[in-house]
Amino acid sequence: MFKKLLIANRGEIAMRVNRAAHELGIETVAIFSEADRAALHVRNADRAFCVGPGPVARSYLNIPNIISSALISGADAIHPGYGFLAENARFAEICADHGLTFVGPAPETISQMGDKATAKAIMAAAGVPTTPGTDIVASLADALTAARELGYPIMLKATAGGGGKGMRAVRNPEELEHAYATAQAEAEANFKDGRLYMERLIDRPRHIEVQILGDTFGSVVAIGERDCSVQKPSHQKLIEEAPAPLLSPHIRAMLLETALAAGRAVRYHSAGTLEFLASGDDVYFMEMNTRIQVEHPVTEMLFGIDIVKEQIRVAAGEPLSFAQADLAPVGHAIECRINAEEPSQNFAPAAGTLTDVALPGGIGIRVDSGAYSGLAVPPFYDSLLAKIVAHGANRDEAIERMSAALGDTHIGGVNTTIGICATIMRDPVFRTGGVGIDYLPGLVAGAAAAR
Amino acid sequence: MGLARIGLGSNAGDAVDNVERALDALERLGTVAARSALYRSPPWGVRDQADFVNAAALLETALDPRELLGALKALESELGRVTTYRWGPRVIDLDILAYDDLIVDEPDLAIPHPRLAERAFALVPLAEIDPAFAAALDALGADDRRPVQRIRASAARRRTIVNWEETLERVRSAAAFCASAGLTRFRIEEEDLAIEVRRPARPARPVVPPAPADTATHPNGARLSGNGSTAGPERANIVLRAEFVGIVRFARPTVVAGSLVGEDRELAYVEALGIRNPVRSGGAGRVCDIFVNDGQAVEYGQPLFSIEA
Repeated sequence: MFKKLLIANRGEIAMRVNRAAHELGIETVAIFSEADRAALHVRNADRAFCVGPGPVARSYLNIPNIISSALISGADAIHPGYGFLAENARFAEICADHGLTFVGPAPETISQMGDKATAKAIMAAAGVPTTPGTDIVASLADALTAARELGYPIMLKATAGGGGKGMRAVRNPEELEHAYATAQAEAEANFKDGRLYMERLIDRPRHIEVQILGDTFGSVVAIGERDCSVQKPSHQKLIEEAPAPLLSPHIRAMLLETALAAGRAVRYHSAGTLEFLASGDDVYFMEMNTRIQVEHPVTEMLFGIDIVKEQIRVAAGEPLSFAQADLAPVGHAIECRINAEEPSQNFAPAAGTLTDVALPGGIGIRVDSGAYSGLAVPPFYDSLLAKIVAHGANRDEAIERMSAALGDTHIGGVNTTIGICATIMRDPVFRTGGVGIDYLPGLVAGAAAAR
Repeated sequence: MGLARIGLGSNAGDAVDNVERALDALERLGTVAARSALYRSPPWGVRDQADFVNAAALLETALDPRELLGALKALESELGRVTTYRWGPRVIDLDILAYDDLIVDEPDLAIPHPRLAERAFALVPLAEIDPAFAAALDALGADDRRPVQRIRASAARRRTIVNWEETLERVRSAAAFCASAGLTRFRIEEEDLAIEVRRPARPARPVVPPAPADTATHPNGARLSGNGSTAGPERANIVLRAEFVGIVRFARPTVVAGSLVGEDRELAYVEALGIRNPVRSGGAGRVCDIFVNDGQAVEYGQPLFSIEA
């Protein structure tokens, strides 16, 4: 097992990894930017290094200073968390070059899965159902020709994309002409790779993903699915739950089988997620995330396992501590992301100093957060303040517990998503279950129209 | 024989008495050709600290600058012991402000005093007895008005032995008049005050180093009135910080507090991933603080050295 782990991240996920490492008897090293000097993740680690000023390019993406922090502190592994360097194959290689274990899959796997067109080809070869679509379209003319064959509506996507960036739904050639340039520019700006491909747009799909874990001995397990269909108009997730409500058993079984096949196909030996779009009885592979995900606690609560601890153990060369047959879900779990955002203004991020922070607790409630009264939320980073997870014997109990927990939650100083999450918990449509990714944009648009 | 300009300052015990005793004691080191009046200036920042009393003297001496420095330090010790029970560095401070036209730039001795041009409490007494420094005083007013105003505001609330705020103003206007009229020499006398301004055709030596460009980020009014002595512990103008996470290694020859360094001196390097990232002085000056030890791990932004410009 590792002796010392550097956590190359911030906020709640840095604290989450810190806790897991301490439970395993591993010393921890935090990194932070000058804007995060007062952050909790800095205090909770055994040692901490400032690696740069606030902007991410100079701090949380500052590979030389991060590697140097690991080396001079005597760390033997680096956990990247999510975002930042988590899916940067070059960083994983650099870690290896310096004798540091990257807690994640092999760099080649990161590259393959990071390029969406490549990932789709690999998955199709492994028998995973993929969305009908095109390879990279070299020009607008090619795109228009391919679109005619594929049939509208179409989803235009950046091959290097993620987080909803460089993604446009188009319904006709005129929309495609306009969207092509803007999606390309957005992809170029965000990922330094403007290459686009197209997929048939699945009508009002649900976003369902499968958590997998693999070890270096070739074992792969699929730890159930999560329904992440409550997404902001930017396609960023707001609420996740497991199991996916109203999902037919044969679809669920097919998803888990598919995920296992995919994990084995790339000899996956870390924590990862396969994301699918589901529409009726059809499911299509969308992408694979080669990292721990924000919403992993939903699965942890449902199965009573610690995915992060397991991820660290397999990175250290240990076998998985459970087999597929050992996994049994209990009840239902829901997560709400409490972000510093203004839902009525298209979820625009809000910066400010937190006041009167009161986080919920009680039976079945889990909170992962780095928020405290007096903390200044810097403008440079993700707006996530807290993740509230409610676990109950069934979906209704989980929703009621979440409603009560949101009622107990107070965060002053910035606008948050507490209110809209509470509204969703009361909404009959959500309570029925099985909403599509068009649900939240519709809810927000309806609220705006009502004003 | 050399002509030394000595600055005197005290803010402990009976400061007036301390300075007068020191002025008397200077007679042992040569001939005191001129004594300035005593000037009082309030301390900056700390309210319950005693006022500073300053003076200047012209000393004709057979001692060379280094011998004189030793003699002044000996005198500081002697006067310090007799005037207070507790040894304090501010009982009396004696500094060589200038010595003939010499320029000395060594780690433990710098002549003219490197910060003289920025220190009204040293410059005003000196300008009184050595008109050659009137131009420097004028430059001080023009280049660095803010601290001068600070003095004026606080001086107005206090009784001064000599109203040097007014003196400063008179010297400044005399110098301005001298310059505007194209005169090289100008003298006025009244009662106990004589002001003589001499303007050289070109500056003979760098008595007036340029004021630091960014005084706003270093709000150390202390350099004017925070310590009445001219050799007190100044806060630095430039703090050199680590840009890289790594191990700091001092460059050879290793600098110590007080070392004078050139504009682009490599003080240390931060070793990161096998690469030596040099830490340069970024400007000529005196090393004030060394915040780290050779071989220590440093993080981004960690202070390494401070340099007094």
